Parts: sequence; C-alpha cells; structure tokens
Amino acid sequence: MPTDDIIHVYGHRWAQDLLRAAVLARRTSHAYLFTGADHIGKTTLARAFAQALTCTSPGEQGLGGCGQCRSCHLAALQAHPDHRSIVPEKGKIRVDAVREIIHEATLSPIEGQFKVFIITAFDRANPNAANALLKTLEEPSASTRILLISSQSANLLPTITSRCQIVNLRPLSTETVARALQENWQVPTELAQLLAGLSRGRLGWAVEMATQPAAWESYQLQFQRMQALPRQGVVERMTLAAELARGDDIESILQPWLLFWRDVLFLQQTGPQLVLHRDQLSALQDLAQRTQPAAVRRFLAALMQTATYSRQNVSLQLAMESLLLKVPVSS
Amino acid sequence: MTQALYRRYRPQSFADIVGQSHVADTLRNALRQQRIGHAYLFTGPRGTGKTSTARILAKAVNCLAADVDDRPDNSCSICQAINESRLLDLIEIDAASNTSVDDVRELRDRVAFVPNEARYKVYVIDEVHMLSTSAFNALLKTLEEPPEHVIFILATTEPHKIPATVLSRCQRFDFHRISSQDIIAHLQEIARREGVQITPEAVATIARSATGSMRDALSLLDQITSYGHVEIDVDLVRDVLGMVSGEAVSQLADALAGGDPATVLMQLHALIEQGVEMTQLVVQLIEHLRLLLLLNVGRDARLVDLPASMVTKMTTQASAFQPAQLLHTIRTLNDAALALKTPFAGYLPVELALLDAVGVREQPVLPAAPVTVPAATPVAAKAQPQPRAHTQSPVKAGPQRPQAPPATSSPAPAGDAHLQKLWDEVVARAGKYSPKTQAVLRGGRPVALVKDELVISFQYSFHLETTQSEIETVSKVVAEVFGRPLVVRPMDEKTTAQYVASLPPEALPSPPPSAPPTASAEPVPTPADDPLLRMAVEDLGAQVKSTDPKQA
Repeated sequence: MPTDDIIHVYGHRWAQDLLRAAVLARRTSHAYLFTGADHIGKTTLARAFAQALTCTSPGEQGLGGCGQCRSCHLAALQAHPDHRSIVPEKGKIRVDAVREIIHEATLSPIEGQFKVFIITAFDRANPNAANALLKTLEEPSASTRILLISSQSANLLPTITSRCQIVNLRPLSTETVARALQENWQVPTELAQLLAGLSRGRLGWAVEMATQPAAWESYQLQFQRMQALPRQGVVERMTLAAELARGDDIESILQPWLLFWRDVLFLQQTGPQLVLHRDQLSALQDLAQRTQPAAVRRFLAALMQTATYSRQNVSLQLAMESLLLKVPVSS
Repeated sequence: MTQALYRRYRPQSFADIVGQSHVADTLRNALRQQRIGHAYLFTGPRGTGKTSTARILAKAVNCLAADVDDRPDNSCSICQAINESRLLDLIEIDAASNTSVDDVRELRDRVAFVPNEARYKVYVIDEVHMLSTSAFNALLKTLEEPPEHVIFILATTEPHKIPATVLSRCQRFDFHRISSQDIIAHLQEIARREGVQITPEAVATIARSATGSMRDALSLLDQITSYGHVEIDVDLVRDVLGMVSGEAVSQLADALAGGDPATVLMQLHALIEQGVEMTQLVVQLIEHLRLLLLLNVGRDARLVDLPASMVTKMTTQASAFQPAQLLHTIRTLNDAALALKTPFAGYLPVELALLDAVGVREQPVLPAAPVTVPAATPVAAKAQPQPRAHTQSPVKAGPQRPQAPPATSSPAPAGDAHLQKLWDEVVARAGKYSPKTQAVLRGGRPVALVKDELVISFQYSFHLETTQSEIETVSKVVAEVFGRPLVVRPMDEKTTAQYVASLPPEALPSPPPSAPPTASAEPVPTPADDPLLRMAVEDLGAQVKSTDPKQA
C-alpha cells in the first residue's frame, strides 16, 4: 500500500476525475449517491472523497486528498470527527438513525469546512427513514455533505435519487483488477488473472479472495462440490442441502455455482474463449459434453431465483433442497 | 459556497415554471380574480416543480406589487424575504420527518395566530403522503375551514396515499412530466447563463436520461460541468452515464442478426471491459431493436424519428431480422433488465438473454443424446427459442409447464434425427436464396416424410404464412437437399396433430438401427408426454423402463 495516508481508489477513472475536479473547483454538490454492484469500490471511493472534502490542501492526485495533512491522516484512520459513517443496524437503517443525522446536519463542522455523512446500504432504510431524510437531502446546510451508498439503487425512492448526484460505478476491466492485484497485493500473475476474470470487475471481491485464504478455499470447495453433484443421487444431494443451509453466507455458495454453470453453458454454445475458470477447462469441457444446454439454462435460472429468494424470507433449507434437485444430470 | 444548479435556478415566478402551464395559468387567473383557495394539493412525479410552485404561490399571494399581474415581483420586501427563506409567515413543513399527530396538533394550535407581516400565512407541507393516518385526521377540520389568513399547500409525489377526506378539501393540481423539448430548452438556457459550452447532442442525451424530471436533468448537468471541461460533448455525458455509442449498439445488433453466439458475446464482453453500465446498454439495445422493429413492420421511415442517413443503414439492418425474432429478443432483454437486480448474478442475465436471442445451438461435436434425455428438448428449443428456461421462477420455469409441446405434436422421438438433420441442411441452404426465408424456416419442425410429402409444423402463424408465400423457394431447396422433388406441406401445430393422428403408425419415421438399445427394445414414451415423468428424467436422472401401470 502507498506509504502516505491517501485512500487509494483503483479504476473508476471518470468518477475520480469528476469528484476531484469538483473538490478543486469548490463546487461539490451537497448530496451524492454511489451505486454499483457489491464489492465494486463504492465505499472506498466515498471514503476517499470524504477525505478530499475535508483535506486542508487538496491536490491533483487521486480524488484530491493530499494524504499529508492532519485531516487526511485522521480520515485514513477513520477517526475524523467530521466524518460520520452510518451503517445498517440489524440489517435496517431506522428512522431514529436518520433523525440523528438530520440533527447533526444542522451543526457546524468541528475541524474543517465540511461535515460528511457516509450512509452505507441506504436501500436498507425503511420507507419512513428514507422519507425522513428527503428534506435534509434536498437543502442541507452549506457545510453538510451527504454521501449515500447503495448496491440496490433500484430499491431507492425516486425522490431520494433525484436529489443526489449519482455516481454509478461500473465493473472494472479485467486488466485493471489483475494489475491492481499484482501491484498492491502481490498476487502471482496467473492467480491474479484468474481472480480478475472471476471477480467480473469487482476489485473488492478479488482482493478478498487473494488476501483471505479461507475465502478462496471456500470458493474452490463449492466449485468441487458442484462438480461432483451431477453424478450424485438424491440422498447425497439432500445431505449437502442440509449442510449448506446451516451456513449463513449464501452468496459464497451461489456465486461459484453461477459462474460454474455459466462456463458450462458457454462451452456448449460459444466455445472456450469466454470461459472464466481457465484452470478447470478440461473438467468443465467434460461436463459440457455430458449435459444438455436446455437443462443447464434451466438450472441457471433456478440458481438466480434462489439468489433472489435468499434476500427474502424463505426457508433456506427448502430452497437449497429444491435447487440441488434441479442440478442437471450428467450422462 | 456554490449551490446545486437545481437550487440556484429554482423558478422564481410563474413565467419561470417549465412545462406546467396548465398549473401556472390557473393559479395566475385565480390570483387575478381574487379567488384564492384555502387549500391546494400539488401532485406529480419528482422534479416537476411542486415545491417551487408552492413557494411562488406563497410569494404571489403576499406580494406587495400594486398590479396583480406583476405578482410575484421578486423585489418587494416580502418576495425577498421568501427568496432568502426568512419570512416568518411562510412555514415549510417536512411532513416526512414530522409525521406524528402531535406535530399536526402543534401546527393546528399555531394556525389561529394572525400573520406577522404578510397578508397570508402559508403552510407548505411537503411529502405530505408520509403523515400518519391520525395526523391526517387531526388536520381535517383545520383544512376544511382554516382561518381567513391561512393557505395550505400540500405537496406529494404519491397522491394515492392521501385519504379521500383530505383530497376532497383541496384544490388539486397535477404536475406532468416535463417534455424533452422543454428540458432541452431550459438546460440550454442555464448552460448559457452559467457560461458552459455544451453540444446539442449532449443536451439531448441529458434530457433523455432525465425522463421528465428537471431536477434529474440539472443534477446531471451540474455533475458533468464539475469536470471543468471547456466544452461538454456527448462522449463526456456517455462516460458519466456509462452509455455506449450508437455505433457500438448497432454493431451488437448486427452480430445478433448474424446469428453466431460467440461473436455476440465477444462483443458484449468488449463493451463490458470498456466499463459500460449494463442497464443502460440493455435499454439502448432495446431502443435500437424497437426502431428496427418499426422499420421492419411498418416499412415506413416516417415511423422513426431519425436522420435520413441513419434510416438507410437501419432499414438494411432491419431486413436482416424477422419481426418475430426482434419481438422475441426485445422481450428477452426486457426480462434480463429486470433480472439484473438478482443478487450476485452480475451481468449473467444479459449474457443469457443474448445467448437466448441468438438461439440455442448445440455443438455438433456433442455425442448423441443420452437415452434417457429426450432429443425433443434441445430440438424444440432450437427450433423455437423460447425464454422458458430464463428468469422465471423455478416453479413456472420447470418442465411441468402446460405449454410444453402437447403430446401429439411433440417432436418425433430420437429416431427422427435423420429427418431433422436433413431439415437443418435445408434451413442452412435456404440462407443462400433469402435470409428471410431462412429465418422463418428456423421456426419450422419436420414432422413426417410420407412418400413424396414433407410435413413441416410451425408454432407461429407468421412463420407458417411466410413459408407458404415462399413455397417455391422452399421446394427448390428441399429438392436439392433430399435429392428428389418433394411436396412441402407447411402446417400449424393443430393441423399437424390431426394429420399425425390420421397417419398409419408405420408412416411415421421409425427409429434408425443405430438407436440406443432400450429405445429399440420397446418404444419408450417420450418423457415430454408427461410433465412429471419429464422432470424425473431430466432433473433427477431417472430412466424410463415402462409407463404401463400394470407392469409397475
């Protein structure tokens, strides 16, 4: 990592340029909404932007934070008194939390020019909380900056989004992710390439895989489990479903599987160019020949449906059982 | 400290309000005739001018200008006080954060006091739909007969949440989405006043993405100006929105017409690597295909609002598609746009939708279909790419859908492979004569070859009719492939079923000698016959031994 205290952001060049230009020209807006897929870099970008906003001598680097002043130092330590970070409590942002923000937004900053609120996962705010913020979001005091973050921006009230400048982050290019992994997390080239492809442009995910061996092992475990499933019978499938339903991180299960079957389908229909699991090509190819494309498609649809269910109030075990019964049969 | 554009350029008089002349004119007339209501309800989508109009009305009723037509003049002490938001008699209440009945009671108690300096006390209650039921009810009496000196203006984006008893006590004004032309004109005016250079195409792109909300348009303009570029062009706007150029969309459509899944997906990935916003891409692609559909069906360039140079190009492209194909692709992409919200799926829904749009193709290198899995499924899917395996709930998407090919018309069992192969060859060769014919023939399924009669079944009547009108070409190709002249008989599915039923059993194609042993020993019923059976075979890996209940 860089030695100074600049909060670094990889990729999202256009967004960095945009926000830095606004900081330097002193024409930042009072409210921003950072959107984009999970692990894509929204929070990092918002934090770096908050750092730049409170920096005493913003420069031309990154988002503008100099990384030298006391303010930047505090921001990097997440200890800046004018930076308030609001995260969902028990999965929800409640109206009380919002009322607190509304009150604090009327106060002057303690250290510098701005008081910055970073509200994560704002789509988790219930309607009362979201509506309560509307007026503050529209016309807050001149020293208030509100940065909303949401990966499900479609679930936000239109009245919220229209009051913000929207910074919609898109997936990074595979190359950017691979380069960042090699340069800053010292990941070997081959693994970096593989993770970059699998991350589908979400650097945060790739970094998690690269830096936490347990996460990557779990990914590979799920991959192998799925590899075995098409040949397994009902009993084995049910046993696995029960086991999986006990864990709570459904994403770490479904994501490998989605990519797994995506690769199989792509092998069946477009050939090997676009396959992501390059290291498993022969195994996937074998399966591609032993399953029917129509069945693979049906299973992919079922996987996506289960992913949607996982965010709703369903019995995880039932969902898993039903899903595993649908795994295509290999001949 | 700079303010956001939408705050700095809030309209300050009736003439400034964009695109809501029906509201502005009515209010002005009411002022002129001294017929000011005591309660107004402003409703309409976000960013259409509700709060702004409420403030203007507050100024107008209190303005000190001598001539009613000049009000609000924005220069008298009252107007200035309101513009600087320091007039005590304009009370703006954020109903969303003061939702309770106690808040309303407090308001009600204060209503009785006469204004401090203005003629009227104006209460603007914004986001009024958030008031609780009891709060609404507590307001009712006051709203019905407020003191002489009080005007209520309620504003909301969600009028359906307002109780009828409140609605009936207010004069209701519906604000409309602002037209693109109005937004464009307003943006240009603001850009001029701000000294920002912006190309007409960029302005149009901003206006289009704002979907009728002026605040959205101004937020975006604000954001893009903060780049600090000398001139804002359309590339910059696209960069911020994650849009792709019309050129790239057109190329993707070309690839779709070409029908090679690999090419389509390679192009999609090239765009993803450039950092395109998936939802935007899908929207743009759908819009492009819609234009192609209009050109294709209407055959009249007046239907589409495009420059002449584009029309020629797009008409050529349109002719490479069949209307049914375009419709199908648009529907599939629409579903994909919704499915993009699926957690952890990334842009997989779009990849699948495009694969689906090009048509499911099997690799020729695949070994023969396994015994237990009917050839029916892939063949049917190939002949009529249906979105059935896509983005629907497993319950619906499951094979037990009643729409699954009915038993009688279900594609002939594995023995039909030879006929199917010949038919594929026919489809492939037809492309030489006319891509259009080729496309409709893809929708056909060979049912039987009896003596000199080749029966082709079509699911869609459009395919059927086109084939009938092109029968000469089709017969020619069939003769080439089959090596002898045949009578080609296109039929719809119903007729096919009747026809098949009328045939003697030996007329139907018999399984070739190479058929798998279980199949030849006893005619195994196609699992397609029975949805339950089909699920058992395809999803659970069962093998069909017999379907005779007596034997079981």
